[in-house]
Amino acid sequence: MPVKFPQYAFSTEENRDAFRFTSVGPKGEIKKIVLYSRTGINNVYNLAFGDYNGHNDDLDDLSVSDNRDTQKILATIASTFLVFIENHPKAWVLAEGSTKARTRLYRIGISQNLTDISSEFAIFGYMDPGGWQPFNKNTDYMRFMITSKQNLQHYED
Amino acid sequence: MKTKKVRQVPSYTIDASLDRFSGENLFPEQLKRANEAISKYGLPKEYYLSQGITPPDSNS
Repeated sequence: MPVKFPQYAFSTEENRDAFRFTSVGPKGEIKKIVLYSRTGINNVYNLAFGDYNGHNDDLDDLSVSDNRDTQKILATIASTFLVFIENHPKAWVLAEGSTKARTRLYRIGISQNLTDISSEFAIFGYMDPGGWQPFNKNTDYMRFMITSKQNLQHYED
Repeated sequence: MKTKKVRQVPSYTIDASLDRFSGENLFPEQLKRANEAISKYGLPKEYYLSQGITPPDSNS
């Protein structure tokens, strides 16, 4: 499942769970970090994303940099996911934006690529009331979970 | 004959300076919220089944 939209080049480290790229736009160059962090639950990781300030080594997941490159950033995050999951094949990745606007962006990004994504991955969305369900394009979910279809109990290739 | 599907993985560079971020909790508030959400709302029943665990009753 290649990511078909333009994206930024990114770098990672040996464990492939921390990623960095630079957003370029009207606001200049802004370093971004994507992290897949272990939660307290086996094989469940949380996707976190934010701005990196190299001067004070600070991370900020609430800032709105408005560099007019949202689509490119989403595509880059999607690519980091592919690299992460390649190296952590049993992982279940939980994603919820640090703000409602970001959660909505994640939903739009998933919806736009749903056909491609769902060929390999199982995607779930959580809504209240309703709970967890297979992702539906037209539903305003609060959070998402994605895993390789090979991790599903009855999946046959 | 079954053909093995090969996933296309994007190209990237390795940067050792990122090693210090790996495994670190750099967005503590986000991770805290994620863990709280898991405690409160659970996970998809498919997750529990994949781990050989009976899904909690509250899960849909």
